[in-house]
Amino acid sequence: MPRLDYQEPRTTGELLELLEALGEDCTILAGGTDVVPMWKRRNTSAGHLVNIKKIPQLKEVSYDEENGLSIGPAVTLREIINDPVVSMRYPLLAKAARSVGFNQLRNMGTLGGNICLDSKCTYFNQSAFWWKSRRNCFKRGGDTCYVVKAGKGCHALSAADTVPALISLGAELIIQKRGQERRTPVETFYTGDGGKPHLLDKKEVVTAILIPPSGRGWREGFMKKSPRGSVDFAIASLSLRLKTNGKGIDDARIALNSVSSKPIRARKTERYLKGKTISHPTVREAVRLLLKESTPLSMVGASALVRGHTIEAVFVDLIDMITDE
Amino acid sequence: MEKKLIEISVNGERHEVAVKANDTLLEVLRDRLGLMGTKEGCSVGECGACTVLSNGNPILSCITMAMDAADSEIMTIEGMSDGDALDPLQEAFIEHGAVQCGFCTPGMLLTAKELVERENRPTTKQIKEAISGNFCRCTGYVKIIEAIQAVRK
Repeated sequence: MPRLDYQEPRTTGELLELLEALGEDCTILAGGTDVVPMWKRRNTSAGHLVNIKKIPQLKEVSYDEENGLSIGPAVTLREIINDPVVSMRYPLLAKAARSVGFNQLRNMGTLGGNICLDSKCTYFNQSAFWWKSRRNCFKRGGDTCYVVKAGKGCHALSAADTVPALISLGAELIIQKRGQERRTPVETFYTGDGGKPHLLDKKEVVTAILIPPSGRGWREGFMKKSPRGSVDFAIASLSLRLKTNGKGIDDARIALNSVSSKPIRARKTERYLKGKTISHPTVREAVRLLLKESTPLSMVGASALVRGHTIEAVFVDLIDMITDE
Repeated sequence: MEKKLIEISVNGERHEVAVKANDTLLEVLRDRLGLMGTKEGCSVGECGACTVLSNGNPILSCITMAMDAADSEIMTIEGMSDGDALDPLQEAFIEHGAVQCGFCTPGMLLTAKELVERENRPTTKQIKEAISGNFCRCTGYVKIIEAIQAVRK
């Protein structure tokens, strides 16, 4: 493993001071399941690792009827799955957390880490030895993309599984740096540039994830498809929430990830579904719109063609599941 | 690189070890404490061979920073048996022929231990889900699943 310095702040204040002092030369350790392998492969060069798991405030989960749920970024996925309030009021989030990686990774990985996960690429995520025989890609500071041959930028895959659930639940992030705090919806947190996938400045850190009360009358489902059903990054993960009445759909929230360089909120499909009743032609048209909005990429485990078919299959399955309830 | 003295609790014994910032828990267990039961497979958190229990939960020691593990209770395969008396899971693995080359076995056993302690009677599906991050390239998993089922509490 390359040389590095390791810091373990005990309060959020200490953490913000450290980030201010270290700036570009630091990476936050929240679960380590992605950052540490990246370090070992020399995919990252920052000299400092700042562990946020020893800050009690960032490990808290709280709920109240008015404001909803607040989760610290260092809460592990296992803790989220086991949390009684999450299972009861936000089963969608528990389901998404359960779909991440495998047993051991869920015990280590955190929600903050999953949200700020670096984008994945069949080429970028190779060892330093492997890279010796290739020209650097955009994500390594070069000028080539091996995935989209004529690409003018990085097309690495946005692959966090909890993100579609969070977007469809209307989650927001509290982001802090020394002396400043801002609030941003998860939906607008991502850039679409695989090289810098999210809008977190090097001196900033996510200090809470807020999910509003889930509301009444929503039916919901989450599904992830990956080559082996465990371990792998997804071919597609989709979160679907429909507010229904006796006659039809009042409102819809649809979000996908692992199909493109950023998570997608399928707003056109949502708009189309509003006011419709669920029928074969409605679902067919919704699928057409969804595929148009999601621009699937060929990489990490699946071609664009397979991704497209997977999105369709998952969407239809979820609609069936929700309407059968 | 500067070393720092940390206290680490492994199999109920406290150890003082001087570690570098980039040492992993796996390196400390094997190279410093001489506990060779924990194996290094892929070294990047994909195969489960390095699994140990941290506060009772299976984690991957190859991607856990040693300094981060300082506050946790670690259990390795060496702590699973009580002297010469093997854990029922270990007995079952032998009985059912769930061990071939043995490389995945320590990680597999520790993952299984947490499962049988968490779930009273784990179903085949729960067993498969729990051990899906522990790769075995010999057995084809059938014997391992049979062994774990035999030890349902």
